[in-house]
Amino acid sequence: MLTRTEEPNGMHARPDGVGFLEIDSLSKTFESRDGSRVDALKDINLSIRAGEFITIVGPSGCGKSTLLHILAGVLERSSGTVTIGGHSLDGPSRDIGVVFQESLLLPWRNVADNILLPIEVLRLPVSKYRPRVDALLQLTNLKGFEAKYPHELSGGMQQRVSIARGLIHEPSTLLMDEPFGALDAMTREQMNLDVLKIWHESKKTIILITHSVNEAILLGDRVVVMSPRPGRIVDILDIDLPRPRTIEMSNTPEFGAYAARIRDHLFSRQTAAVEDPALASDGKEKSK
Amino acid sequence: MTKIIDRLLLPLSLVIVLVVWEVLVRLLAVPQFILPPPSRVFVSLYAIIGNGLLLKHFFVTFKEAVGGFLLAGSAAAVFAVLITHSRIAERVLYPYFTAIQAMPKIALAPLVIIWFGYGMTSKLVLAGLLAFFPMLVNFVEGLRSTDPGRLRMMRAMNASRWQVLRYVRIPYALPFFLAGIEIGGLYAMLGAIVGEFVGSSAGIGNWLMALNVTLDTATTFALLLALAAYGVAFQKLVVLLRKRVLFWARNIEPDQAG
Repeated sequence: MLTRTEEPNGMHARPDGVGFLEIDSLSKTFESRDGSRVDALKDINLSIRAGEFITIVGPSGCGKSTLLHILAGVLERSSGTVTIGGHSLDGPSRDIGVVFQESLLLPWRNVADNILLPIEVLRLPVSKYRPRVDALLQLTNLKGFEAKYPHELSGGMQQRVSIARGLIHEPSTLLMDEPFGALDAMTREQMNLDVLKIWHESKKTIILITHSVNEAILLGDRVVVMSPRPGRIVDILDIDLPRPRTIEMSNTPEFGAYAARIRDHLFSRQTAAVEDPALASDGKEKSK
Repeated sequence: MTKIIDRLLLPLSLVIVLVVWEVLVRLLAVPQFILPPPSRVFVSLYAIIGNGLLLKHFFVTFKEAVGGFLLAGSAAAVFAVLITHSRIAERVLYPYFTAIQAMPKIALAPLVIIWFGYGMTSKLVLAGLLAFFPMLVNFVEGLRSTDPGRLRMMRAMNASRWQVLRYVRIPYALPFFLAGIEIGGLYAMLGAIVGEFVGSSAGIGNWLMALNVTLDTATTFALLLALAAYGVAFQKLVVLLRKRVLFWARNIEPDQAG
């Protein structure tokens, strides 16, 4: 029902081998009022295939949310180019759906009307998309909840509604900004499996940001590891675990090796930063 | 058991107050034009309801208040949108509004009567003038209360300013709108009555002045009772409206609590 071939707006990777979503020499510098400049992102290059599941992991302050906000079109880049399906990406794109850290549902709209919000904003015929709402409710395990209001749902369900909302207008790409950070560990594992199912059935390109190493490996075809100040890509891992993925895979040696390699990047950054007196005192406290 | 006592507490205390009032006034032989006994007040109330005078005068004042309230409400809505959407409008308009708001607007009543006459227009203006500012302040505050996360979400959907206003800002402002409407409604009544004090030919304010001349204090009390009943009814209406419109404002996620 939600396969790529049936999507009128679905864009495909160009056959010449160039990625579907191309990020080229992207940088972002924030300038504060007193004139000081902070490099949030520096020279980001990433080529993403259509239908690929990319996870981006990094410590807080590495600019991963900044990157996602630039891709979502709500933040301007300082330099570099981004193309999606061969078109330059400047500002919000119809071909992208976004899931934020919080579900950001509108509390006065029921589940179905929340999912339909992008359709109304895009001035598309709502009645034409009702069947798609049903399909998305099915996909996100929310069947029977369409008339409920957000305050009647659990945190996990709210975030599933926001995923359905991100998919309603049939974008090719779904951006997810630490979507499960606010959820408890149990719910989070279930949500990981749900997202895998959604990805598998909808065949979307997904870029998911997380600070959980395990989540990044469990979900991603490739894991992009970032480091802070300025935010750079320090490694990209091909995750060669079979699909469908299961929670049990996190106990395999392969999984452990991936996790060790990622943690190595994150950890080596910390030891290198001990010269920074602020961080050094942090380290002392930990060694006590 | 305690529930029954709880329910009876208020009516019981009211009866006690009325009885003590009645007995004291009669025992101490207080002149009726200073403090009439409650029994006289109720007789007067019954009389002015019976002969239709209460309804006639109340309707005059009510029309003035509602008219002024509607004028002020629409003006406040327009200016609130202007102020929250245009920096120029904010810079130009806000200083004037704060200056006028700092003024006790009741002091303008004699001037308004000179400008707009003894008829309904001057009362509309005064009711509107008093109701406008609390509504404007609440409307502006409300339109600014939307959380940045949802604004970012709307921007990611490429929503126009009008769509952001319609889908997010206005619904989020509703609790503030209702607070403004509640205060504005009461202030409009106040403005109408003050206007009638200063110069009028009918209405509750006009009648109150006439009753003072004839020292008919019992009817004055009856009128105050009627006004209090109106005020309580109006507030109950707003509470009802709030329950219907803001069903979502309870038990909401913490990030919306602000």
